[in-house]
Amino acid sequence: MDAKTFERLDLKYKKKNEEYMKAHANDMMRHGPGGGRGPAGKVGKPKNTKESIGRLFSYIKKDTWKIVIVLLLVVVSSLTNLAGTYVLRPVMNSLTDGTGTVAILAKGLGVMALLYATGIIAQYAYQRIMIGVSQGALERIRNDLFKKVGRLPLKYYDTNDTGDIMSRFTNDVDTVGNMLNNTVVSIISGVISLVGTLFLMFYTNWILALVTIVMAPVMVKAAGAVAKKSRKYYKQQQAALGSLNGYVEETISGQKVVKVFNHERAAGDEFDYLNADLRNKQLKAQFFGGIMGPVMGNLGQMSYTIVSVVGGLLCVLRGFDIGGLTIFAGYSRQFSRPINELSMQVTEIFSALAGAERVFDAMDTPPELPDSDEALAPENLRGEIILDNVTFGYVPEKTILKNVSFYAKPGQKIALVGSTGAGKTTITNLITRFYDIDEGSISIDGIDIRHLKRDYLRQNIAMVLQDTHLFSGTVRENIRYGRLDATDEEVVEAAKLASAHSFIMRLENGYDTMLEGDGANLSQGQRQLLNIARAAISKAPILILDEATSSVDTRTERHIEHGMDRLMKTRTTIVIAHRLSTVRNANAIIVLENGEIIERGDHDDLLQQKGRYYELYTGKKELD
Amino acid sequence: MLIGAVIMAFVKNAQLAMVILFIIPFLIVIIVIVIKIAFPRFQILQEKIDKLNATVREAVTNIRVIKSFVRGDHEQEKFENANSDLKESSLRAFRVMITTMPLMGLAMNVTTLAVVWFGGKQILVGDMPIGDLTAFTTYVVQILIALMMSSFIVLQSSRAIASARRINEIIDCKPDITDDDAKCPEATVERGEIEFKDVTFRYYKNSEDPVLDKISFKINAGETVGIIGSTGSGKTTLVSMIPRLYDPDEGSVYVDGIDVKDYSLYNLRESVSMVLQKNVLFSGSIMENLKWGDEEATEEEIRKVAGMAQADGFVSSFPEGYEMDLGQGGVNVSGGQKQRLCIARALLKKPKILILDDSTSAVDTATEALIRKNFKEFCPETTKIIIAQRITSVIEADKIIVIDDGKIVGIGNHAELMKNCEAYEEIYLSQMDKEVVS
Repeated sequence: MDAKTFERLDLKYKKKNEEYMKAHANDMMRHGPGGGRGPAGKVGKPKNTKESIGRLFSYIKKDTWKIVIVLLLVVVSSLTNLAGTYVLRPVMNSLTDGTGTVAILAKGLGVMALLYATGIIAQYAYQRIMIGVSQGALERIRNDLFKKVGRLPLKYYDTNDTGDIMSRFTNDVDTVGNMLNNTVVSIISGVISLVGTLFLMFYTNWILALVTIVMAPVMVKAAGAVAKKSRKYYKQQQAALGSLNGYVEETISGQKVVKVFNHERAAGDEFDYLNADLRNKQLKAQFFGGIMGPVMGNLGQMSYTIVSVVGGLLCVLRGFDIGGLTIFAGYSRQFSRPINELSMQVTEIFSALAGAERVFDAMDTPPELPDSDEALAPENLRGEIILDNVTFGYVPEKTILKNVSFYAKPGQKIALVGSTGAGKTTITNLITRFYDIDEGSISIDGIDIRHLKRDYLRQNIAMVLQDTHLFSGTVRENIRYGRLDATDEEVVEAAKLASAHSFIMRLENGYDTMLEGDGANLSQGQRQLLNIARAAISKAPILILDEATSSVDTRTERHIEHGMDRLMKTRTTIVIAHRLSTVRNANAIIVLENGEIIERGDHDDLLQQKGRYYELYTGKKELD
Repeated sequence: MLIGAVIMAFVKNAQLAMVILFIIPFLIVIIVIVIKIAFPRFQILQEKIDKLNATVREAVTNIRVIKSFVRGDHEQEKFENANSDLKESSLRAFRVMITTMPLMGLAMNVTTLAVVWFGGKQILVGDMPIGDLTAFTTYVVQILIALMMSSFIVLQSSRAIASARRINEIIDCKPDITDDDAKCPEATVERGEIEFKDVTFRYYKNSEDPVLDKISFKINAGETVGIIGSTGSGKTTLVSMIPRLYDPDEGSVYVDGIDVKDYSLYNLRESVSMVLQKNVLFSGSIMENLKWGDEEATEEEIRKVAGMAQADGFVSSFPEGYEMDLGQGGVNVSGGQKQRLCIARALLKKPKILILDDSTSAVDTATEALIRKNFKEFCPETTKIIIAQRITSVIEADKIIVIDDGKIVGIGNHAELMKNCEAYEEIYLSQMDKEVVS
């Protein structure tokens, strides 16, 4: 990379990073190393600590007795470890004062071995149980989250981006998982070790114990200073990581453009720049995270030295026993460990609670209102649709539809025409009750749709959307998505109706070809044909086609016209189309502009009116 | 620290130090066994995580379909399966990992006991002073802590190795289109003459019907050529072979009489501009995006090509003009505007060959006609290939190639094709018969 390129990139990203740091100034205040996971996971400090903890516990409530056993085992393993070391004291003493025999030695070591063995078995047992408990709880949390998120109104999906929703399932649930796996157990064993060690230290020799304790605040201070420094660099690291990820995503999705413009070098340079930037910041962050260990280790050594010197003096001057000194040295070494561990757990807990809160936040977003008890599900809807003075806005300040009314008899085809943002798709959103209207009413077969069971309403509407959504699975499964009990013959028939049969047969395994990642191995037009087949297989009396054939060429469209006609004949159809040739034979064409109906009538009427439709149709105006 | 402690231990008491020599192989064996079992399990775990993520992503992006077909329960079931798979494989992986702590503890305790036992016996027979035992235990503890630390790092890496393998899979992927065997890497495209000879292409090596079947045609330099044909007939694949986004399975593509495989990729793509069906703009200003075509372009040049693509007008109407930020994926401009910017970007490259793959579909016919007129006027020497759905887009072309089911069913100008190409006539009628032509 030459200096000029570097300078240009430096300018571009310096500004961006500053903005990020400003925006996240209050985040991660309490997070040290390990605080931020993943770029998308915004780690804030928890707000409702108590409530979140309570809800987390509700997920492990089922395993209460298991947890009680875990706690008991933790106590056993901590205490046996402490006791094991203590047994060394009389053994050592017997060796020093000459009273020792091989038998005493054997007996002492036997007791120690027994204690250690118990401790180890207990440790394995509680870890094993705890893993089961925490993974089970995570499974339940994820299932719950998925269930709740699936019931959220579309508004939620329209206002949150996919990455953010995804990160709740991954990053956030993971941090909770880490906490469930380790934290609870670590804290309890840490506290027991700390208290036990302290007790035994005082019991062994109170003077030495006081000396050791004096060192403790020094260690805590040192740890705090390092953590503070590293936090700053972790934050910068997150910002750099975010930029890098964004760049990778964009470049990979635009890979073909990169190729045809010979932009591989430039893209590589920019990546290198961002990568180097991330490395530098990571280096600093990791450095300060990494020196924590050595700093604490050296302080530990100092404290050990002091203990040894003072202990030695006590042995000589005040008859402190050698065995006592040996085990005390051991304890003082162990003493700093639980302090370290506990301080690390605090970080862990804060980020886990922040994660848990984001998970619960998503769960607590009000779902689509449940159906009332009187909600209807009349048999055999005919598909008469009436919109009566419908007014609606996604946000209160901005009205999208104003007094829209129209009437579709069963089996009729109504076309909605207008530029982007005119409110065409909004109308379909309202008929399916993805959103509820503010004023006016929509009724089907004379029943206000708010009085119909929501699922029942949607079962009676088949939709083909512009964004062709397919699922990973076979072609057959994708078509059958429209009606799960459809037979194989019906699937083929629907595919033929949509003119999809011939290209499906050309695929590697015909109807059993696996579609990966939203059907990337098909062309846009082919995907639309599959979407049409999926709608065709459903027996719903109402059909909504939202730019359903925009990527199908006109000739193929002509070919499928016959099939589409058959499809529409028995159904009330609402068509939104960019290409006006597709809406010509509609019973009524409704031209929308800024949420209002400005023209209506059939094709010939509207051409005669020489209004907006005429302009669009003759190509004098651009639809966009 | 480890080595120092070992040396000190041997200096102090070689016999006791032997204990350490026993414990080290024991630890190594533990680590090897744990890694051997854990590694494949972590690989599986990683796959299950991917699977769960894919399920969530799919459910989130397809939410409208799921809701409108009322398939929430169906999706829930799919998710729960993926979720319980993930739980099972996590359990399998973690159960191996949790054995390490107790096993390490065991090693540590056994060593301590052994040292005190053998050391104690030595003291009892008077071979060793008690101080040595105390010092020795300290060394042993230090050695063991160091060993445990390194074992942990090794164990942790086993998960990292599982991830590293996945990274390497991509790194080791050999690009199947390279210019390593190019015979004339110095050559550049001078005129822009194109010839396809018996080109056959399949998406899957074993599928019976090829996407393109023995395609042959020739385009002279400076010609305007339209390509028209039904969805999935292979139009995009065909033109993608000119800048070598794909290579033919059989047959060859020649530019200026040289096989495209014999150019360096850089030289080839430098002279071929392609506006893709799936238009992509990148985050950054309009200016930055257009400069993809030519990093050194002056503002004057940029305005000129933008004018040719009928983009200068609307760009100038933005308050920030060419400095306006497009947002990720160009979300701040409409479909038709985006397409015109993409054309401008391609023109800035001053290509010898310009390919427009259905790239004016959202532009109204009047504007599109103006763009075509500009092409004719300002770049008469450039070979222009236009793939289109609208017949009006190609009606004036010197040559129109009609593709159906991977085969050429007609080549000629509009009048000729109307006479002798049924498929062309059908397309024409599908768009023209009932429409009022302005």
